[in-house]
Amino acid sequence: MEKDILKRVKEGDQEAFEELYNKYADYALRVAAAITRSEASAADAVQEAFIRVYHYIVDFDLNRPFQPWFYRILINECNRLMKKKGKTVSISDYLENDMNFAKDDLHHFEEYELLYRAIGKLEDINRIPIVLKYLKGFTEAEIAEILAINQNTVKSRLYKGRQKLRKFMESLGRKEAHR
Amino acid sequence: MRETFDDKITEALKKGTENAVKYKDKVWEGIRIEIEPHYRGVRRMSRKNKKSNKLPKILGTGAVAAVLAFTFFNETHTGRAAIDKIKEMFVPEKQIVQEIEGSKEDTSMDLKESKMGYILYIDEERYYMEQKDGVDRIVAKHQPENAPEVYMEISQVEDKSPEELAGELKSKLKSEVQTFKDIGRVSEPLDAIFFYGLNGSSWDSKVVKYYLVDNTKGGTFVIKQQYFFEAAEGHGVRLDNILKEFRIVEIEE
Repeated sequence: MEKDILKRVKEGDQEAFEELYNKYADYALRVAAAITRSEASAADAVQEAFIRVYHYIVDFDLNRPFQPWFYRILINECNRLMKKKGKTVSISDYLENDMNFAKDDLHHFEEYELLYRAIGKLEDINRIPIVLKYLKGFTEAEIAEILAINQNTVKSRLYKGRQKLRKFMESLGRKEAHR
Repeated sequence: MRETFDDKITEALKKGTENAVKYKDKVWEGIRIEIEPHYRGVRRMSRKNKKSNKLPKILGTGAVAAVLAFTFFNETHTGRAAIDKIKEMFVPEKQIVQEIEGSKEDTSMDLKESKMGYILYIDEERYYMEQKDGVDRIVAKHQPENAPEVYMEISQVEDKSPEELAGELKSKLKSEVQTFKDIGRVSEPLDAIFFYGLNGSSWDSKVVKYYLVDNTKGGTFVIKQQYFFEAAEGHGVRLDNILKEFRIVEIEE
């Protein structure tokens, strides 16, 4: 099915390209939003990624899975946009002094919202694998291929990312207990 | 069943990104606008070219390459006189507004003349021009580390038209790159036969573009650009914008 669509896209079939977009755009937008922490940047990244797919699909090997190739392009776009917009804020800043979260009344947030915000504060090297695994469902091997890094590095970054998130959620729990 | 921490991360990401999907139609509209020219037969390389089609706005200049003729009486002074005359004919400096990576940028461009019989304007903050052995090179002052050199090379083949020359240059490029695209005749950034090649899609993949321009005397100006993939919206746009002001100057002795 996917191979058939890709074959038609390679042959210049515009309807097939639209089908391809409709098939993958939702998760591409979600992943890009979680990575860039901006829905507008996510829209830009996805647009550019699909335009690149359109131009370079001619070189894509139909015997290979499409999604790792596509997400590699998408992540590159996200990184490019983030580089333009500025630096990543480290979650350790929040864990150490809670300054920014202290300004919010955390009572009003659901647990998932707090966790989503915490994911957004992770450093890129931890956040991107977390998003690819837990939102998109990629395996560690696929994440390694997308990010062009060793699979053990992926494991380690996922582990550290989870640890930071767990630590953050625990610190929130303690805070609630002292209210 | 008890929810694990992993499940909570998934839930947080799914719920936290629900709104992003609302951009789906708008993004498709943007993509469609970009790729539609291909279906109309007006092929473009990429979005970057679309941006550069709109910009720069160079005051007081037209889009069509001008051919000017000068007559000089003393052969020994021809070269110098021609250069002086060119300097009289063209303003020495222009301010342009160009869109680089989504942001508008005011750029000062300085007139450069070539013995080959053309002029153009370059941004001397970012590029310098060297003329050696019949080849002009516009070279980026700040070269990337561990990535292909960024430059634009202009040379002239006096006895072959762009059509005659295209075949051999395309074959040469095809043998050097992983991906080859034959775009054909273009009017932007200048009237030329255009084709390009890519060596992958990682940030440092080499991009080579060729524009073959009729020199109006049966020959061809061969314009070759080289940069790396990630520089497409930077150097790629800047070098194309330089070409928008490429003017052939015919010097009659």
